[in-house]
Amino acid sequence: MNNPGESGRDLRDRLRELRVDPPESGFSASLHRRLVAEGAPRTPGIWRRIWPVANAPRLLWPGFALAAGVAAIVAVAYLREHRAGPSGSAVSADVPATKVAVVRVNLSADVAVESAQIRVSLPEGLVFWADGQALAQRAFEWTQPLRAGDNEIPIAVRGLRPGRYRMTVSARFGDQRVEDEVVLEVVDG
Amino acid sequence: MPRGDDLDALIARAQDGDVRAFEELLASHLPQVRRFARAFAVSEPDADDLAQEALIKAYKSLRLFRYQSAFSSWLYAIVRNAFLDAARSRAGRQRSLEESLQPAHTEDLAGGPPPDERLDRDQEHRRLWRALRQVPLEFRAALVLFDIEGCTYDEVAAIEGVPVGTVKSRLSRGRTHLRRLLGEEAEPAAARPQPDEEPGTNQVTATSNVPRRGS
Repeated sequence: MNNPGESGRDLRDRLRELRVDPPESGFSASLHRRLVAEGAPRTPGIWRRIWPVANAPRLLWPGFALAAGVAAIVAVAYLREHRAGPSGSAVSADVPATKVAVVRVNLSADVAVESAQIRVSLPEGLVFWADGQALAQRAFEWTQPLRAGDNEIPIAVRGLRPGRYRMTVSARFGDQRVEDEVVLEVVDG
Repeated sequence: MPRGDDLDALIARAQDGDVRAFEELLASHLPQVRRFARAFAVSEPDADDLAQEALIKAYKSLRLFRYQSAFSSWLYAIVRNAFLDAARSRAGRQRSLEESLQPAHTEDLAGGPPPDERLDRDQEHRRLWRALRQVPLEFRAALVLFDIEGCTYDEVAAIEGVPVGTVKSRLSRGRTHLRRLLGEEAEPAAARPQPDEEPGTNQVTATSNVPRRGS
């Protein structure tokens, strides 16, 4: 047993002894039932189409916009840094209600991040747009690596009716989390 | 564990909804994931349920895996995030309960009967797991992955999405917390590296003139 003042190596040795395989106890069978009940993995939806572009050179953005049938490119939003909650200084842009807008979210990281969890959510009155139609989902969440520097993610949205709406974007990696909003003013036209 | 093209084919099958393929992918990771869950569960009996919840989340997200990292790193990153989400969510709901339990729990860990040679291995293991569950969340995953599972610094850094220096700092601080919880002597605070002192500590910043956050 360990006494006060023991070395770090001793504590690590004791922790290493915790590496004991737990008894099966029906774990695999229970997991199988739950996996089958869940159905197939989620379809990424618009993000599958976004990903190849997201890692492409900046010059490819207009090409993506045309391919998606986008009629207006309206805003670049920067994720501002704070632990949680809206910043109160969100980027704002006008969006004609008759057109689809591509909001380019820029996640900027000091160093490469292997796995960041990104979430984008829309309020009632805004919809995600892909392949010429509105998507039913109000939020998308996915995990992706981030390069050191800029990581632009285009998000196609459309306003259903005039008004002021806040799109929320958050990113989490390790124990850090940033969140910000993009204010979209949907106007007639 | 399959490698190369076989692994890719297995992942593709699992992404198309083949549960057996996913289970084959998981097979060699199940013991680690179940141990990992023990450090974040409310109690021992809840650990397997938490592990399954995390693995289901990984399965549902499988089509987001893009072969840009090792499958195992991706899997553990998803699982870790699921554990942290569960622990944080629980913390909000159960804070009062945990606080009411803490004095007795702390006494049990640090001030209980002095450990001696009669303490068998199972008791010692339970005591260590119980203490691990009280280590702050930001340090806990690194302790489990590095000290228990034997991952390398690089592997932990990939899973946590932080630089290696941050991993080392978290390990150092996590072990200090753990020793304190176990009622054992801790290193002087001044001798320990702090996360903010690590060069290249991971931060997300705005691309404009936004001041960087501290720790």
